[in-house]
Parts: sequence; structure tokens; C-alpha cells
Amino acid sequence: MKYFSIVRMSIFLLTFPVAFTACVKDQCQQTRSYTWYEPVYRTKSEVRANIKSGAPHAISKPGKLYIRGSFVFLNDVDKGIHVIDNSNPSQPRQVAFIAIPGNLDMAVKGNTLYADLYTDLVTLDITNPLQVQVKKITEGIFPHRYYGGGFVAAGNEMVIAEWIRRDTTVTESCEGGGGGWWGIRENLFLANASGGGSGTGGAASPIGQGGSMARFAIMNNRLYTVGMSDLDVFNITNPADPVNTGRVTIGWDIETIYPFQDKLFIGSMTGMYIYNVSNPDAPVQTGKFSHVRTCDPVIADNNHAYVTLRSGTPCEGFTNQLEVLELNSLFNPSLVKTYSMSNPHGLSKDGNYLFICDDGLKIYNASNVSNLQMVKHIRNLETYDVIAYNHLALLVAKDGLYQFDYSDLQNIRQISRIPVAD
Amino acid sequence: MKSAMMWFWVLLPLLVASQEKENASKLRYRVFSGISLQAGEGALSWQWQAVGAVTKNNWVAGIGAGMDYYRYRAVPVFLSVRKEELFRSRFFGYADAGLTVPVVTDSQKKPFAVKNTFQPGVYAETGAGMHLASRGRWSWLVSAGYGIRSLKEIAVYPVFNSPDPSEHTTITYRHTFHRVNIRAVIGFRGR
Repeated sequence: MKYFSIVRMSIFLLTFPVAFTACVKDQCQQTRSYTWYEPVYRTKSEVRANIKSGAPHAISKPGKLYIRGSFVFLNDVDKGIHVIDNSNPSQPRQVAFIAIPGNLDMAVKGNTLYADLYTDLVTLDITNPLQVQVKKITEGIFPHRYYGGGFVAAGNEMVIAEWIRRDTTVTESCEGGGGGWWGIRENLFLANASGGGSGTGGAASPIGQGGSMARFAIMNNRLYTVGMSDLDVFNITNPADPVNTGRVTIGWDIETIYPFQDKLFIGSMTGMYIYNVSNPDAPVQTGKFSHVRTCDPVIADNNHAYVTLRSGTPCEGFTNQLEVLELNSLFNPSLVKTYSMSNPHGLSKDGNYLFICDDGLKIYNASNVSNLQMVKHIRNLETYDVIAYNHLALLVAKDGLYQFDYSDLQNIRQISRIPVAD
Repeated sequence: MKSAMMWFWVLLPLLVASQEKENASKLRYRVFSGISLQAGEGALSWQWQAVGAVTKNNWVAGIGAGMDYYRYRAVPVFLSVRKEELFRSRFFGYADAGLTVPVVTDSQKKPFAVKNTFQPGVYAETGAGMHLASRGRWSWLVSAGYGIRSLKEIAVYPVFNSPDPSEHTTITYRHTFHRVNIRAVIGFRGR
């Protein structure tokens, strides 16, 4: 009996797995919730006819910043420019919105605003910001903006006028479906909002001031713009009629441009270039500093350049730091010191104080660049760019435009905020 | 840590035995501790578990817990019922049902997700076995069963080529594993 039970058990144990082989299965079902953006195309003539000042409306996705006199021009990524009366910084007032599809960058000289419309350069008379007028459109200046998110953003006749957000949920088998995030197509906005416009400072200058993320810069009656690989020069002696006088090929993955004295500091994913524009129409490279592959806005003062390096798509790389470079030799800038950061973005400098968008806003005493001393760290903000000028720091964050008064460095305080629409 | 846990579950019947006391009720307690080989579609893995139960007549009911290493490491917590002496033989049948609580390792997480969390799911198993031998109040058993285990996984990924670094995609995975278990068990019964 005992022997027979063991035999039966043995048979059971041996045959049981075989019998249930067909039932052995790993099942997986995945549900993906994601947002995608459907492009809405309009004809170029239709879009251009609608480039005008409209009633102010809520900010949706703040981008680059430009200051001209008492006005602040704030880009709304791919939508246009908010015109803000900042004559009272504690109570900034949105006065108009200029609809420019595909806009990311801008610069202002006098009463003329230069902005990009995907691949084209738009020249606007902003004498009356509430009634701007299109003066000129120069086509094909920014060919890298032709495509965006897998779509033709600006063809011969059509441009993407807006994106319609769609929230979608898809349920499918883990195998043969999206297969994880590689298979997801996020048709989001176009090239990242890095880069922007900037100009020299000065209360009486007709040229305003942009941020460190600028791709536009104005200097000596010239508008300099950078694309992905080229530097374009426009003669704006007649502001309403920019004339393209030349194009210089710089390198790959160009991101930002910063003018200082007679030089242009150009940031790219692989390093910083220095161009001399003593001859305004013929920029000449005089120096370069290489770094690891990552995104890097750059600013400069008389003796040093300040470069923030950050990781994250599309920057690639894994480096997050501030590099301070000595400019004694413009042909070969040298590294003074590296400071570890969280994920730094734009930066600005006013006198001895350095403002860096990193984990909020960090303010350093930079009188000794080898030993930056943090004066203030304003946290809990997702910051993008900052302009520090005349004791006022204008900070672009994900949730709005902030202004901080730093006239008393022991008591830096927020004085206003224009929020982003919910 | 894993070795310590394994020895704990294996020696649990001894620990219980050391705490034995007279039980005047007809109910008697039992403890089972076992290691099983699990065969599924995706992997061959193993599991150990322990069950503390009470027995009356030929029915055994109790609560069990263990460690399951199939695909995603987890702790099953379940109610267990078995009927012994099936057909007046050494055979027994059992059924377990409860929850499985994921305790996944870093290597089991999605490599590109910025956030990856797991939620408990269902655990169930049924099968039959046989008492191989016994000595005093100790017994050795072997069983074979078929079981399922489910869990829910949520992974959050960054969005490539988005100007908004906070833009993310969330994927919810619902896993269900159907497996065969061959288990070797040591048991102890109270007086």
C-alpha cells in the first residue's frame, strides 16, 4: 500500500507539470495615459495677417524674456509675445499679446522688435505696443525650425498655427504594443525653448536686454541670430528693414548667444565659442572652450565667462555644474573653477552678484570667482531664465514671471508675480 | 538577509514546537514550512512559505506568508485550507488565497522610468499532495499545485523632445502570472 501510494504520488508529481503546461502563462496588459498635441495648420498669409497686438491673455508656457525700457517682452512658447508694462515692478501689467505662431526668440532695438516665426524673421514696429505693425518678414532664416515634433512646422505655404492638446489613454498587450516608452510618440512642441534674444545693457541704450538663453543678440546696429549651426548677421541701421549681410558656420548644436563689448559668446552643446565682431558684418572666431556634451547657456563680464551645464533631454549628458572661465586669453579661455549644481538653466550677473536658475534661484557673491559665496537660495520654483538688472531680478519660472528686489542683499524679496494660467 | 529569512521560515516549526503547551480543545495546531520550485512561462523560480493552522477532523485552516521570487519579488499573505486523507489515503488537497505584496529589487524596476511603483495583487494556488513520511509529530510532505499571482506596476517616463521638462508619460502594467509549483514541506502538529 505504501509502495503503491508512493508510485501514485510520483506519477502525479511527474505528470502534473506536463498537464498544466498549457495553463502556464505570463500575461501583461499596459495602459498608457499620455498627452499629445495635434497641429493645426494655417496658410502663411493668414498667419501673417494676424500678427498684431491683441488683448492681453493669460500666460500658458513662458519662455524667453526681453526687457526694453519699462516694458517686458515675455515669449509664450510657440504662440507669441506678451507685452508687460513694468513701470511699477511691484504691479506689472499685461497690456497686449502679439500672436506669432512658432515664436521662441526676440530682440528689441528702439521701437522695433525682431522675432522668429518658425523659419522666418519678423520685424515689428512696436512704437505703440498696443498696435504693432509688421514691417518686414525675412523668410528661411532659421531652417532648423522647418520640422517640429515630426511635423512640418513651416513649409512653403503652411505653418503650424497652434497645437491642440489631447489627453489619451491606450490599453494594449505589453508585447507587440508600444513596448514601453520607446514606442510612444509624443508629438509635442518644437525645438526646445533654449536660446533667446539679448542685447547690451545701459539705461539710455535703445537696445534692451535679453536673457542668457537667447538666440538673438543686438550689437552695433547689427542683429545676430544663431540657428543650430550658423550665425546670421543682419544690418539693422534701418531698424525696419533688416538686411542679411552674411552667415557664418560655427559648429553643431548651437544654443545661445550673449553679446559683451565687441564679442559674442556663443554656447553650444559641446563648448563655448568666442567671436570678435570688431567688423560687425564679419564675425571671426577668436577662441573656444570645450566641455562635455550638454546644454550650456553662457554669460560674460570683463574678465570671466560663466557657463551652466545641465543634463536631461534634449541636452543628453549627465553633467550639472557651473563653469567659470578666465578670459585673459580669448584664444584659449581657461577653466578657473567648477561648481556642482542640481540642473542649472539660465543665469545673469549684475556687478559682483551672479544669479543662477538652479533648484529655484541661487544668488552668489562672485567677487572672488574661485570662491563663490551663496547669498540667497529661493527654492520651490522651476526656473528657466533670469535677468538681473538695476536691483531687479526678473525670473521666468514654469508657473509664471517673478520679480525680486535685491537692492538690499540681506533682504531679497519677491515683489510681484504674473502667474501662468491653470 | 535572504539566508536569514530562509532559515527563519524553515526553522519556524521548531520555534513553534518549543512553545508547545497542552491543548484541551479538539482543535490542534499545525505548522507547515515549505520550499517550492515555480515554473512559469517567463522564468523558473522558487518560493518559500510557512503556514500556521488549526486542524479538526481532517480539515486544516490557517494563515500563511512567504517569499515569492518569480519575476518580481513579493511576499504572499494568504488563507490556507486543506483536506487531508483524501480517499482515505495519504493524499491531501489544498487551496490558498490572499494577497501578494511586491517587494521588488532595483534590478527588477524599469530602467528608464523616473518613478516606478508596485501595488499588491491577488495570490491564489490550489493543488494536491501527499504525506511522504512522519515521525512523532513531524511529517514530510510533497505537493504540486497551480497558482496565479497578479500585481500592478506604475512607471513614469520623461517625454523625449518636450520643451517642458516636467512633461511625463505614465504607463500602468497589470501583470498576471500563471505557474506550476512543486513543493517540499515539513510539518509539525500540536498535541
